[in-house]
Amino acid sequence: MVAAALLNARYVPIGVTVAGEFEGSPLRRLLEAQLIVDESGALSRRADGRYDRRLLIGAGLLMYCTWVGGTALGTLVGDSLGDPDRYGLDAAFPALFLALLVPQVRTRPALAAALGGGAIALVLIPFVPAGVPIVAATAACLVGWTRL
Amino acid sequence: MSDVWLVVVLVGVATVCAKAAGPVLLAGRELPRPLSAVLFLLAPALLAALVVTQAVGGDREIVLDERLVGFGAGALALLFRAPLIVVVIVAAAVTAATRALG
Repeated sequence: MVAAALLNARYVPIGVTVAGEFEGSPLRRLLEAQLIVDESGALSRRADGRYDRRLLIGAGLLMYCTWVGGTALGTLVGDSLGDPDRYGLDAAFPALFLALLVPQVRTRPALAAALGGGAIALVLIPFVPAGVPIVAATAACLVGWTRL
Repeated sequence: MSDVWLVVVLVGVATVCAKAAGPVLLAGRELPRPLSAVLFLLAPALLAALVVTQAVGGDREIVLDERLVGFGAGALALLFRAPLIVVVIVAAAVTAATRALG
């Protein structure tokens, strides 16, 4: 449970980065903020580092529907399909995140942060519960301090 | 309520708070420059960590298996500027094929 909560702690800094694009009442911001996921965040990030709020929310809604729909479908027919690894689905996720990452590393600091984050995660995997390497990897964005 | 559901609810509440913190507390405000310079790099750092943990992560161990073959094929597809959905399908298909053969 701690691992699950820690894994989702990554949404605190992600929320801070997109906060500038949110407006309206606190309740509306709270509800819209629930549509932040890794994929919607990555897709809605523009080249200048700002975020497209409408794209974020649209992608988030689509993600939510397909995620919940897919989960429901999985519980209904999952047993008859057998091991999902047989279909190579476990390789689909790293490939997806790589495809989202590549457009983000056009600058040297971004490349440095990506290499640093990947290295931190790799080193920590054997020693800490799942989720912690991802949160720890966010420390790599501190290379931004040296560029001021 | 069973323990499992208790965990689900608690983690759910924690996640709702984590996601809401930034937008609710900071909405519409520009971040100070040093902070935004650092947070600008958050996305690449986080995505790279997700790539690594999903590609070779196991339960407190590094797992090198057929996933890597498919992941490599996906990366190759990416190099040839294949669209995202093609990259994902190539990675899954090559992994599945490698498993079926091995």
